[in-house]
Amino acid sequence: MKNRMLAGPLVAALCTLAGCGGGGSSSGGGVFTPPPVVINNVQPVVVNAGPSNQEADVLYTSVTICVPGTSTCQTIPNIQVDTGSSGLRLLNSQVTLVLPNSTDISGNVIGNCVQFLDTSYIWGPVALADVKFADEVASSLPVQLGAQWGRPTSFPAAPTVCSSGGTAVTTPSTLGANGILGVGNFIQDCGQGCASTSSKYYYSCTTTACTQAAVPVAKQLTNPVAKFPQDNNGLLITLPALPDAGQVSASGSMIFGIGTQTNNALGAARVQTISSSTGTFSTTFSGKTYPGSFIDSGSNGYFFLDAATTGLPICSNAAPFYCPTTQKSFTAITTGINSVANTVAFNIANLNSLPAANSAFNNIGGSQPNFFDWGLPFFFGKSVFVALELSSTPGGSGPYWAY
Amino acid sequence: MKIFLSAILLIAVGLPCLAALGETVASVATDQQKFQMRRQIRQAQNYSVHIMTDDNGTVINEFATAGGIVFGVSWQGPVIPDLSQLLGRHFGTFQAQVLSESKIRARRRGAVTHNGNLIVESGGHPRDYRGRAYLTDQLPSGVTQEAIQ
Repeated sequence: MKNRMLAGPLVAALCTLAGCGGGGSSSGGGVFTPPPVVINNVQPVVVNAGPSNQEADVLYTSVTICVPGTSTCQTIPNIQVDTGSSGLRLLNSQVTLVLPNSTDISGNVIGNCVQFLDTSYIWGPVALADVKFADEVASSLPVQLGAQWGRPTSFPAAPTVCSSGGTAVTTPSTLGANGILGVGNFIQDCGQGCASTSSKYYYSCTTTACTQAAVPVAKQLTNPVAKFPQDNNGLLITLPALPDAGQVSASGSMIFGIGTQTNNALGAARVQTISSSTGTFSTTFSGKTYPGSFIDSGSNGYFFLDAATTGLPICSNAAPFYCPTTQKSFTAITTGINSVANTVAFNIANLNSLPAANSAFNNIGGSQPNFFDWGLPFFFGKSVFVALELSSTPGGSGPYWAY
Repeated sequence: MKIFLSAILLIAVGLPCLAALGETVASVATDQQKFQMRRQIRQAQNYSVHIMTDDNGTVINEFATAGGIVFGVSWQGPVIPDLSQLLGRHFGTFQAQVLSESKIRARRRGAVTHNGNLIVESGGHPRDYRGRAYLTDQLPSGVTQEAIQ
């Protein structure tokens, strides 16, 4: 934490001293100052039809995981990039490595649960892995091995507080990916709330049963960016602009760090701070303001308001997506906690009229009463910066969005 | 021991097993006990709001008619509340519909379902989930869904 907070200003200062490109320099007192290490901080990302060959607006990357401290590694493709959550979740069926389990103070394996809005959930143990993107490495990162049914060792079934009457996500076809990479504004999937009391997120597991337990933040699923030795104050995602008909695929970049290298400067991007507890900001539409709005690359559309408010009919075959007869244009104003505003123009097309062969669209969306979920369509044609909570950047302290 | 005593208490006061939506207002106490939350009651003109809170920042509101039927529920908090408890006998209807909707090109989003008189709108993201559910045929006269916040 301390290192991460220092990293931004330190690198900025070194850039001034060393001109950002030279070798080490000697400052006045003869103290050797190491140069900023320039490493590859660019991880390719792509929007395509995915492993099921039928996805729309799902952003993928690959991840290399290694047994901690070793060169025994594996690369897993088709990992969904999700700015709406934090931490890495892998479907265990895609993991060939035998990773060490993460254990609690009693020596029991830590179990983790995430529930989705459609009542499905991912359940499985927390394991430790060195996690690599480009040249960036998060060492011994707690990750979830989802749906570990008996391999390599048995693990108890999900407690009812996790399943809550829902269905388990166990396969890539159900998830639409081999895993989820949470690179949102928060450092842990849950945070202090799950460290001070037991929660739905964390469990202490014997070989036969799991019980809810408080787990220290250091052992919770952690956003890998926060654990990089450098470029660890945030990231930016850049995706190309798209035509109205969409494209078969769209390739872009996930660039780590904000203002730490020449390729991740904020430039003209406007910094909008967000609630440090909920991660939300306000969106104003047709004169009414909706708090509780957020940006989420893991949502595959603009999800906002309802048919009555927007004048957009719901698709008869794909509720709650909107299906206007012709594409409609809208503007909304996003406002950060710091009162900095951005005007966002966006279009909504008829989901059923878009070419079936295409998978990348900047104009699909649906109903979500009372707030705005700015999903993946929002990212096309932009560089969107995600500043982590507690981080220091040239644009101020996180958490914030900038674009 | 504590669990044992709670069970006896439940039997003694005869709390309904089914939870709130569409049930009698007495079922709110079942939810309160299950969720381990504090409760206060606010009276509106022709309905009451049972406001339940906990130390984790979760708020659950249950809206009851003057006749004592829970016609709506809303929630906000860092986790999704147990909707099988909160929606009670309507949970199966909600779940069946949300899971039957095509996943093709509709992978991840909020769960918004309209099924006859049952409306469920569940959205948000980790650390801030928000939603509401209500029965359109149970709304008190003059009350719209706008009241269910």
